[in-house]
Amino acid sequence: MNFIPPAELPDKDYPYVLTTGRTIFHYHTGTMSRRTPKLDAEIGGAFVQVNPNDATLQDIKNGSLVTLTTRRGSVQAKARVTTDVPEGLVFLPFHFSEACANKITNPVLDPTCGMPEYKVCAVKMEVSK
Amino acid sequence: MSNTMYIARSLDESLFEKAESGGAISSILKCALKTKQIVGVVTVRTKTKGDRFSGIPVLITNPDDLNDTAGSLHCSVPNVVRFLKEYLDGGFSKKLAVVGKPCDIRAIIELQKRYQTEIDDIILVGVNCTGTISPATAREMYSKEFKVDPNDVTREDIDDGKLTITLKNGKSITKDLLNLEKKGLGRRSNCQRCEINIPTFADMACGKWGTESEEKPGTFVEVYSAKGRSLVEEAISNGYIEINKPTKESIAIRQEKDRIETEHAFSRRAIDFDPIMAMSYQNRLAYWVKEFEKCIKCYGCRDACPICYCETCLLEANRDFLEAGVIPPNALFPLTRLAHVADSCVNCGQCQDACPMELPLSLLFSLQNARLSEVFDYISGTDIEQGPPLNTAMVEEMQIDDVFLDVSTLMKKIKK
Repeated sequence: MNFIPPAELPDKDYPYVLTTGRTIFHYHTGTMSRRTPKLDAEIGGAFVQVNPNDATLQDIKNGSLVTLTTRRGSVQAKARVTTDVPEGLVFLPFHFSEACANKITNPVLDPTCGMPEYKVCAVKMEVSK
Repeated sequence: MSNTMYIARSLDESLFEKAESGGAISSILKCALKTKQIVGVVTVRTKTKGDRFSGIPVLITNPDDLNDTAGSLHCSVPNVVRFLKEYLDGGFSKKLAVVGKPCDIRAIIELQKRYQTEIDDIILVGVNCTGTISPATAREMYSKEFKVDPNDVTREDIDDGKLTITLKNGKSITKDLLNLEKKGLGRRSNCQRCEINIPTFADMACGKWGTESEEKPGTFVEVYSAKGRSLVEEAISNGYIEINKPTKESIAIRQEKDRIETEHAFSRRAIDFDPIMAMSYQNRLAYWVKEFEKCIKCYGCRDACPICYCETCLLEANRDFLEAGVIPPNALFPLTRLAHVADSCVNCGQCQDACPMELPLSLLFSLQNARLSEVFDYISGTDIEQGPPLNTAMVEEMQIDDVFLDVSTLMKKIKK
């Protein structure tokens, strides 16, 4: 079996890897969990996790509103500066329709199984003006 | 011990056969229901018939349904107190009798102090307990150590430091409990540390200790209040139970068994507590903080704790006490719970049972409780007249000549 690399990797225009996923407090698109007051109180809106070194380079502070842009479009989310993510990678949960992660992920499919490549694409980020 | 003691057995043959030791408790409660002394009994029953690991708290209002609840379930950990407080209005709307182990009864008494459970009408029927076993541990132990199918076990008994199980085919197997516990099996860790076997603070305390020399199985009943006395006397006069007086030897056996079990508990406490107390303050804090980092903020411990009762909890995300959406939560999460309930902890172990991350919560709470208990000369849940020490100021404490407690000076400072 041969390894096929992701369809889109970081370059000088889009220097970071964007990956998406879940948080412990919400389920998928949040149609149920975001209507649950206790869970909504824990996490009420979109955020993006950024490594402290990347944050310094981009002048991002904890809580800054950050615009994430890929070749497909852009979304805005509040920054959470944390070592939970490695340098060069940002994590955006996909529960929040107002910052819909899959608007900016890469709509390519695995040639064999047809699985969309939600977990890797190239992104740039800047503090929203 | 109480001045009023009986050895009682049921006069209902089917109950006498089915129950653990003479069926006295079931018969006394059956009489209480039939004669309308109470309208319901809170007790424990298997959720699935024949599955001894599925015990749940139930409310029984039909006297005949009590037959299904007779006998002990050592391998279930039902949260009787939460059931009473949350689903039965704390006993305020119905006259209830609650059957409970010493820790259950103690938790109810702690809630009575906080006006969360009814005080005057509720009847606390305490049963002796030398420990319970987590259902998962029990299944593992039956397969691995006893080499039997867990579903074939029809009865278990803990006595004289031994666990005896009876199988469907009538055979029984006995193993040394302390040996099993050295392997991490056996009773729940909080039970191993529990020093209260006979609930002398209930309205009546029942159990089999002291009935060993009887020809027929019987239940040793100690009566501790007028409520308890009237329940037993009605059952006698209505022909539900027969009684005889325990002999001096029986009473001595009961006391001796209690003493031995209490000693075991204290030696277990030393084994569990000493290594932690031997750590420096710094290392001890580091030890606990490392444990707290496993927390996924599921609120299971708080929701299972029979003492926690606030309607709006300080630890909720919308209270802005802890930062919302952060896993693990700040160490203040477990420490706040500790500060709120450690003085009243009854060592029931429900927090640890509920914890999906297996934090040693019961160890933390029982250690802290043991230390506070010494300082304040307070044993939680044993005396309704004694307020929880961390929120009750005693007269002596009010008279301490200390600037921080000098209320009039403080008031003057505030006014300025």
